[in-house]
Amino acid sequence: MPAQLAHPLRRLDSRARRYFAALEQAYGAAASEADRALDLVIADQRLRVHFASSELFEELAPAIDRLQVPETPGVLVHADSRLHVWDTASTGVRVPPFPWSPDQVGPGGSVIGYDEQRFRTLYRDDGAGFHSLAMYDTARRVGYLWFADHARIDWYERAEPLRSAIHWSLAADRRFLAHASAVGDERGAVLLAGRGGAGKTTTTLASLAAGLRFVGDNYVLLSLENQPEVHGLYGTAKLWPETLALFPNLSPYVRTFDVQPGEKLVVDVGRYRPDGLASRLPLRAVVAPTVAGRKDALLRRCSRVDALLALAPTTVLQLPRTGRGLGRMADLVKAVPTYTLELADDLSSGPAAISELLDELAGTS
Amino acid sequence: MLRAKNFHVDPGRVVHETIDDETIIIDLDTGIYYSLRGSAPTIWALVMQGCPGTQIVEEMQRRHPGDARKVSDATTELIMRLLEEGLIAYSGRGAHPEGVTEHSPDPPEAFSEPLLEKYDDMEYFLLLDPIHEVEEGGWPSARAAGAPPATAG
Repeated sequence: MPAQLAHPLRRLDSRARRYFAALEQAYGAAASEADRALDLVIADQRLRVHFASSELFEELAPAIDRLQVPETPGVLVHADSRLHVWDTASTGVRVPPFPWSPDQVGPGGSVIGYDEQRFRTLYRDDGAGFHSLAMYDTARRVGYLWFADHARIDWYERAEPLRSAIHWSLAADRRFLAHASAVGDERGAVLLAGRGGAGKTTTTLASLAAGLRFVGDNYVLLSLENQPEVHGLYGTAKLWPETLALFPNLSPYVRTFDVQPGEKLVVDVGRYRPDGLASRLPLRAVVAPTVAGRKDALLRRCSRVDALLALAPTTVLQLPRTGRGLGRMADLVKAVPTYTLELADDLSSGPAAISELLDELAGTS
Repeated sequence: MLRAKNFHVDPGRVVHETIDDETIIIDLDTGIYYSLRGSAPTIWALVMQGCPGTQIVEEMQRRHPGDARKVSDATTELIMRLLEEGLIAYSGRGAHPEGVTEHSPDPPEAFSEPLLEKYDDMEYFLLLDPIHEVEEGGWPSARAAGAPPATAG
């Protein structure tokens, strides 16, 4: 690296380190009364999440507890990555004043100067009371997450908490989070890719009702380390209120019906079908559903580019910048066959088409 | 009119991938994504290689002999479009010293129009950019639960 460039970068790095150390101290103060930890295993990675208060634990832990592994008393197990989460309202500990100015917060919340090289930093303020900061040290694989108030965490974060920090913790050369759903069984899984409104969740829940297993809705972890695999993260699915009418059996498993306009209902899939969750399956295909109003669902081969267009933009734009995420997604669509699924009004025909596809692909793998 | 300068692509803003003779580009700042088809992926590859605009036009004409004017106009139009979209910018550096290294087809192929398709359906992801308010207590100031947001100070 040219000498004249190194010095400013070192300065930025040292500022980020100092602020990270300040967060570490703040968490220490916040967790002085209590520290509840959850050990999660995803794709052979052990992620330990510490919560500084029971209020925060109760808000966020339910969506991720499907990944929990029990502690063995007296046995200390090494964690590959650690996250520490606190809020000011329940602990009284404020987040250290930010060393950056508001105009350094870029699109999506990335903090310029603190979201590159070794550290990752994301700041969110929705202007309505939800206020949060996530900062992660990629060298030590440790992160700190702060919320202003556990009671004002927005519904999206409650349904799929700590997304960015989990992404930073787990992302590796051949492993990445994707904005997609996945269903399958012992024959393998299909990845359902597409922007909001494409029919991913509807197809996922219809597949679960039809006997396929739920890997995830909205976010899953993909690994291309050996054969392509899909791993579940959250045990929730998000539905527009009007879509719930298609799945009346899910009503008892909706967390709350008290939602604002623009908010979805969050369904606890793990409680609905505890035996219907799959934590990890070999990935056989990428399928891009579209709402077509057909009589019967139709599965067609599509180009790898079309599959990448269904998968990549929402993933790349919703998750913190990885720099190489698009290349990995391109590797994925080269590794497995790609399809579109034109959906029918009869919800059962989509899962039937998926099941036939899994039969066909399991036989050729 | 293209300048005899090469181009800069900001890797922090623009990500791209070419697969099966089509290039996908995503602008991380705007949420807009693009698909390049026809001869557009080749032109993009020459941009990424560091070739200046004038050299790219010459190279495309060399690869697709025939209607030189048509090739020049179409190539220039695509490059101007990429500049307008903010996907590339003129670099401060001069022409690339090594010239074109990208493999050219043998025998030469018929020229296909460079096509750029733009998708702005993801823009909404990045439109929610709250106004950050610096309050009397500094930035940020964690408000007590139930307290109204502070007014701009």
